[in-house]
Amino acid sequence: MQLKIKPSKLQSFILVIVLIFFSGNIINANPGLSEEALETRSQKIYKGIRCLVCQNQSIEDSSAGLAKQLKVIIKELLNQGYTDQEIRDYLVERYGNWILLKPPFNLSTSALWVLPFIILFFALIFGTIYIYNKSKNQKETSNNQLKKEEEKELSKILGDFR
Amino acid sequence: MKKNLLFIIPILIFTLVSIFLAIGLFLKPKEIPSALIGKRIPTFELPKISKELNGLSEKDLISGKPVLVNIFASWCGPCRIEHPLFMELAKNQEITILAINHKDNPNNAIRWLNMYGNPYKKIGSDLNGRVSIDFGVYGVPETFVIDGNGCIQYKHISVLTKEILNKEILPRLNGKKHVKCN
Repeated sequence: MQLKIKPSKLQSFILVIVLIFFSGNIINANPGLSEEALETRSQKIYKGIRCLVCQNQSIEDSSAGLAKQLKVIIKELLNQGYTDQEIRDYLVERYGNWILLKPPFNLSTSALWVLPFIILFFALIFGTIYIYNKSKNQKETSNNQLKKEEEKELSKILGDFR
Repeated sequence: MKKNLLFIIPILIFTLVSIFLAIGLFLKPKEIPSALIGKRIPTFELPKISKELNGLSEKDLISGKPVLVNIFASWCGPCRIEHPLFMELAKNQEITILAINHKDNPNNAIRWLNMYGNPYKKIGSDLNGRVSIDFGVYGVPETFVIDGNGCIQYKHISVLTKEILNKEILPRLNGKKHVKCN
């Protein structure tokens, strides 16, 4: 079969351009999330997720089986359009707050978050009182001149060194 | 008197710290409390490992009476240690033991069960471990108690012992210490 209208060079050029343009969308199944954005977002989430089998490592640092699998799942969820918080919630729902390297602030963790500040507060108060008293004592004692006898004794001791 | 009080403060702090450290000594950080207790089981459908054995889906877990779900694998050493306990439990017709075969080659699982016996009524093959993740599993073996309505009651991590079985699992299979799901 032969085409009745032979496309001009310009027309075929435009066709090719248009096809290339659309093919991008076909390859990249999720047009909203580029490969790069996916990578940076997933990396950010990985850093905050505890590797459950290696305890104090994030899944980003770990190559344990479960960590690898969680990474795959996180990427999957990102591709499905989950927000970062929704992904964290997804994991917390299954594994509890323990899976987050940074524990969230709630009633059971309040002591953890607040205690350092309380301790700092008391330390500052006691510190200022201590320093204040010390300097007050020093002022009082510095006014005290040596007694005559003490003066004599001191010059005697110093005299021994000459 | 004031001097004495000052001496007491460090001793007090020391005692407090020691108490916390002593408590810390007896914690088991490896055993993460399950976030899923008091929650409903996830929906899932796992294929069978062989023609003769059934697969496992969430419907099998909602049978009207409490069931045990054991996560096991043929490659898992500790699973072999707890296996005789399940074999003994299986003699009791009242108790339903189900299993999820975790990231295991079905052929190996079948060979393993032929060698050591099969205490499980139904086994689902979780090849990629995805269903296990929905169950909050992070290592094998793990054992769940699920009530008749699909509400997760208890989870034991690592090898099941007779002590845990008698103290925690059997009472829950009999409907005691029940946790409600909302």
